[in-house]
Amino acid sequence: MKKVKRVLSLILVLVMLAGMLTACGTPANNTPSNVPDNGNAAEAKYKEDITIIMDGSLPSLNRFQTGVETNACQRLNWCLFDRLLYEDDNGNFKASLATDWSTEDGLVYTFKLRDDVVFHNGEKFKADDVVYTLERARDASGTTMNTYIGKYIDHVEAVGDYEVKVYLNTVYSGFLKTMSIPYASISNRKACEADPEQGMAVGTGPWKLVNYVANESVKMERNENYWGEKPKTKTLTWKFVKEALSRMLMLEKGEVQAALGLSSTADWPVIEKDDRYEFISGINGGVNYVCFNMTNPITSDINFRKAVASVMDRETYVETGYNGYATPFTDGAYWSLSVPGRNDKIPMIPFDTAKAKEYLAASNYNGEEVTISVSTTTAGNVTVAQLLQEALIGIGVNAKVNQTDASGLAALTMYGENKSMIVINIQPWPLGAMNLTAVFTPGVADNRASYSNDKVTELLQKVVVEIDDAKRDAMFKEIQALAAEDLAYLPMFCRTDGIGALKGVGGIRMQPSGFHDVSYIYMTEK
Amino acid sequence: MIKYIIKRVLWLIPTIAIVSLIVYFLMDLTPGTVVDTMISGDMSQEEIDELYRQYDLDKPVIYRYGKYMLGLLRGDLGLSQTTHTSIWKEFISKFPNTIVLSLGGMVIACLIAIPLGIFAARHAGSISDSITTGFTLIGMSMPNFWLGLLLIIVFSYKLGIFPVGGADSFPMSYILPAFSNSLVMMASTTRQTRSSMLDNLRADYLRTARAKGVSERNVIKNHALKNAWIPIITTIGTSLSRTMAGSAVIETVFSFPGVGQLTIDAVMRRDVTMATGCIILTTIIYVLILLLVDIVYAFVDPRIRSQYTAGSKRRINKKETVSV
Repeated sequence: MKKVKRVLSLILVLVMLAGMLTACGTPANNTPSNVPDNGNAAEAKYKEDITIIMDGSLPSLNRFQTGVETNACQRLNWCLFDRLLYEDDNGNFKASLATDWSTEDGLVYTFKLRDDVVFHNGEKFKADDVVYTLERARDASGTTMNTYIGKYIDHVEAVGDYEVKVYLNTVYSGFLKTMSIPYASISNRKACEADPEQGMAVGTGPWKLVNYVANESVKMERNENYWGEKPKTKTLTWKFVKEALSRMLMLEKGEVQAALGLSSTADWPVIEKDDRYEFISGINGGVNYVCFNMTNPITSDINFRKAVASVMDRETYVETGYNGYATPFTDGAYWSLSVPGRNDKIPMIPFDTAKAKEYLAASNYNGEEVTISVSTTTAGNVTVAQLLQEALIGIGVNAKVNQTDASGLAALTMYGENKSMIVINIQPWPLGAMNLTAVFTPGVADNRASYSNDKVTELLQKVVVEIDDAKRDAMFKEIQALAAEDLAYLPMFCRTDGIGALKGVGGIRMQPSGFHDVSYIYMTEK
Repeated sequence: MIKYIIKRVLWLIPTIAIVSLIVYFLMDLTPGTVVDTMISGDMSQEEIDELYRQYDLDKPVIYRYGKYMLGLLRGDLGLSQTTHTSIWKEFISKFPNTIVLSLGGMVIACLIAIPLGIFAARHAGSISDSITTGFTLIGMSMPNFWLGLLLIIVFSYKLGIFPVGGADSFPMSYILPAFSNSLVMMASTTRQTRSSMLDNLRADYLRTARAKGVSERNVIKNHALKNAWIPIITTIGTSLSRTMAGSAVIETVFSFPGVGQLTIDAVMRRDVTMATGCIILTTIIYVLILLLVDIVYAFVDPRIRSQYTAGSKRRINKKETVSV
């Protein structure tokens, strides 16, 4: 009897404890209270504090050093800084910190600057800050900033306080584009020299940095002295969360108002169908491709490449690997779908397994193992690799998938020591048309096929220095046609980039580069 | 006792040397280098070669290791190859989170495991004992990251009691990760407690104690448990070291900014100096925890305490004998 009483008492205590715990916590809230009532047409009110959850990392604020130029870093640059130019959605350059610009020979660019801009630390924006930033980009060897911008700059001169001349060491037709990308964000010389870490966050942008914890969080407040349009939101917080499920749960709970890096297979379909959320999407300009090691005896055989091209089912790759969130290529041109200038007259090798077997029989392939190398960073591409493997086995190729991480893939496909055979990868296109040079130029990191074609190389050298738009366009189209004949690269699709957000969120500007601009994010409230 | 502690601390030196050698060379064998994580698509081979030179990757691994060890001998763990921040500062900024997680897990584990183990031992062979054994089996088999995700879904998402992740609020952000971390320790400590207690409950001296009229509660607490402590402390100590070293998985699931995540990130980015530095520091902590376990033995068990001091007493006695 005593024992029974004890057990009953214990159960009662446990029940009471459970009750207390449940009562203490915040109630489950799958419907955030700040979702606006669609029927109420009252004056729009905006939520003052917005939190965005992201994948990726932000290891440092010092963007002039190697290893820190992550996507998050570029997104932060949109918020904290301005650039000389601004590129609109139609690809036209508009005034930003520079009000006017000109060049006569493509070697010297003159920029006239705004005289009403102030940095976050109160210092006036002047030509010397442009000199400092661009020359620092020139000297920051090993950084992407240097590769995209700095290496073309010889020196920069301030002409008074509000005019600057940029002297290039070679004509570079993509120079104006580079002045509009986040890498070209203008820093304050005084702030950077005084504090090499925190000073790097001092810009002229619509947001001021309040707090930063490396790889964990960033908090910003609206710059009330901003020269341009001020954001509707007062404070913006970013949190970095590695686990995709956690990001989605935080959004569902209403802990955050927007989430990047959600899963296209698990999360995007839910968000699209649910009225509580907005799904903000755009095309990612990066080209997902299959390439062949042109120095390998098997994959350098054109018939082998044609055989592989004949079993590539792009629609299935998009459906299975990306849940439909990608746009397959329908022609043979290696050119991002987000960039004007495509040569759409290049035919694609059609899907035909019978023809594939013929090509294979005509090749020098004799049953050797063929590896398809893919980076595990993009799960969708791993699925594509497995589908391609199946298709190749179906025509008699002894195909194996080799999964590695991004570093491993880079080491495997090093130009001059390329040990790969077939590679599935993504080439980002943050610079627009100029990114084509990276894939086809011998000795460049993104040339994972170790591809070399003298005519293509000659055209690539010409296109970089050609400042006439029409001539440059024609050269790009010719390069696409020549490269399509060689079949070193088989473009597959461009992915969709998506951001999940609560209903009422707007102001996000999707960028094909993946450096999405959230600096004008807002959320309407009741 | 002091000599014993000093000896154990001195053993750290060869341990660190061996660990650093293994880690450094293993990282070197991994495909890819830190430079590969920095290369942007448009970089030319000359630019890539310049990066390799910056990081001494054009030199043999033995040169790089030697340079690293020279710095280590001066007490300098160096800078991260990717963020260029001090490895010591980065580690120390994240270490408190990991230690709280591990100690929290230990406290939760001990609070549940020891009473449960005693209960199971006292009711050995009964249904409750079987249930407890079943629980320990599940606890040791269940992956703690899976439990972590389950806890997030139930307690964070459905019930909304705890935050989904991060370490923003104390103690709410710490409870679920600490509980997930404690699972394996809880299971192994329960088993060990049950096993040790069973051995002792059958001992003759306990029969004597009962015959003398000592209450069952005092028999368990003051007699059986005291003698059962040694293996339980060993289990707790080794489990604590393991949870500290293996907290990376839990830290990732809960987005908890700790040392485990720092190490994993470093390995993924091929940041050799950061990875080696984190592993060396974790090794030191691991060894110090085991040393602490040995010291606790001395407090708990007078027989062991006398062993630590026996060496010095024997030498004193020898001197006296010689002088006589």
